[in-house]
Amino acid sequence: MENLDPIILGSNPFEGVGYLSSSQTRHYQEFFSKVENIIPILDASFKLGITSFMLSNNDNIMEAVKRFSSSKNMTLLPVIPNAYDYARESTEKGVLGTVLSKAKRIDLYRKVRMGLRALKKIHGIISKDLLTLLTNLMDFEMASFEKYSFKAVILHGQVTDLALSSNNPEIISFYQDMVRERYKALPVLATHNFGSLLPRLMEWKIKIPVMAPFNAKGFIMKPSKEECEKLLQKTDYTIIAKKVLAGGRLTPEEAFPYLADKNVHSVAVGIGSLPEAYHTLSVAKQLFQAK
Amino acid sequence: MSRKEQSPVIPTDSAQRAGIIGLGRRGLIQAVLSGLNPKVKVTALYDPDERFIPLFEDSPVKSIFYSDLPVMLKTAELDVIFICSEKEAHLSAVQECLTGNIRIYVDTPPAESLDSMTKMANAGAGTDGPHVLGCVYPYKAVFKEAKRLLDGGILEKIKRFRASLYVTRSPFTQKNRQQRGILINTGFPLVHLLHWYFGPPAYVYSRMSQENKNPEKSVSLLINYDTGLLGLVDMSWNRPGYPKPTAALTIEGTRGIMEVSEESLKLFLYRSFGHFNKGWTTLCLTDLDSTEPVFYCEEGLYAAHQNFISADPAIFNNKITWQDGCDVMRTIQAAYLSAESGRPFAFNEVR
Repeated sequence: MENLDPIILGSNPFEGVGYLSSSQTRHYQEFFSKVENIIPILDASFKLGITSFMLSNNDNIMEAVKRFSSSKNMTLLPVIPNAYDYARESTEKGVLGTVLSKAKRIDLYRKVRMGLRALKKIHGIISKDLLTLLTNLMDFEMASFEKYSFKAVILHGQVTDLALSSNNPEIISFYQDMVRERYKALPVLATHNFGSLLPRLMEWKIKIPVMAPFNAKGFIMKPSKEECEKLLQKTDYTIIAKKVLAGGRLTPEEAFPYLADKNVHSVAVGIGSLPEAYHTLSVAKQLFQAK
Repeated sequence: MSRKEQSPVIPTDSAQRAGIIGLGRRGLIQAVLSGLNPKVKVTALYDPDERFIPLFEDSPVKSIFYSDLPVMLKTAELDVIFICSEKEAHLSAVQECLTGNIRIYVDTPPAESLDSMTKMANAGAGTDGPHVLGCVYPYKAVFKEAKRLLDGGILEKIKRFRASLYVTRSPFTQKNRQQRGILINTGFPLVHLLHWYFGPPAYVYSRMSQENKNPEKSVSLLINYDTGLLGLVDMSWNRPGYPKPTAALTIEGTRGIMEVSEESLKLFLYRSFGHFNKGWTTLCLTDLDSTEPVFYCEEGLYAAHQNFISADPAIFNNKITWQDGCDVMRTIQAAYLSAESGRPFAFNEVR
């Protein structure tokens, strides 16, 4: 299993996710709704040697990857499922409605692409529990990434934390096996509750890389910055830091030195503009490429 | 089903036994929050939709899933319950739950009308409680800080506010006209926030866009208060670029202006006040990060959940009661009556 790169380009701004102000969030929503505004950032990142890109199955982002000339030389790190889509749809249709409508889409998709084998799969889906059904929907989402090189597959934090809350190691084992065996990739768990997840993984004896918020401000480090730091210091798990700029509140010069002496394997950072790409990624490279 | 057969999500010694009614998105969120709260164990799930049953087969959840509410209440011996079903079903669920001396959390909107909300509040009045409503803005760091500053008189006399709530919804919404539209279904927490900040209004005037048999997709409210405060509220389900409901407020006072959103609080003061200098001050969510030990989906959800579970008077200072729900529902009802009649409605005129 290959190692992850030390610096990973994130996609939150491309999906219109911002933490600094409502005007920034609106700007991201509007600016990155145009695929041609995403591509130069991918290009700048690539030229700076940051070739790993963490992304959701989002139409705009997938189109940017498709059009970006060096995408075949990039390593994608899909985040599945695309929780924002699920959340939006489930608000309107209810969770069951969303799941069933996605299952219908799987049916159609697989009927076309995989023929009769798919029908057995659908029967399997319906007879399994809800969490297993959600895991099968991830399989559907991975179809979008098939033509690209991907090194790892990241389980969205909302699903990881759902498995955590339901005390369900089976879903994580199932996910881990699926990613390793079917996609020959490294499974990674994203979480917003690092301090609860890591001890539980150890208890379950599941060794798997974890992606969690780590930043000098303690933003979304749960249950507390101190507890997360204590766990991080002692762990032999592969840890990938996200929200490293505390949602844009820290400058790269403030943010990265905090992480430089921490037990983190990689950092994921979202970029909202071209100048930001050169600035942020250059500072990150100075501290992390040599790590 | 005996209690031994039930499968707690995260067993702890002194955990409160929780039930969840309605397995939509909000119900599942409460299930997750309960699972992450060591003081709670989920021992019962109820949804009348029988399509859930096959999904839970061969799952540990099956042992705690019920499709019959009275059976669940009789069997599960619950301490607390989260009601997250459709608003039309809340009152009957509350009435069933109150017979079992269970503390109740009702998600928003809590009822389909003022009449139902009043019945709910009256039914809960003689019981132990505390029962609460799931309004989350008072638990969000930025909105909480804004309230603290407003109460401290940072803007001096508040003269005007403008509030907005936008979300991009698919044109194929499931609501029919009887179920109403954005104002009650999405706007309830924002109207509650306005009550929390400014108190009950004196008059409400509203206009709503409705097409054919569809519910209202956009609403404009003009709200007058006895203090002379004037508020404008704009809500829409049709604004592009808002994947989730997004609220924002601009509040104008004699000392300055405050802009509040989920992400930040921007203050412009005409003259210094306390340690705030004249001119702009910006406080970001990341500066005000809450002390919630758990994060799931959005900030504030766990704090609201935990506040209800703890019911500790020392920290139970943001409780949102069913009586608050009546006040919010009265404002909403005034808005619907105003839109139908074309005239302003006094808050006290609505019964």
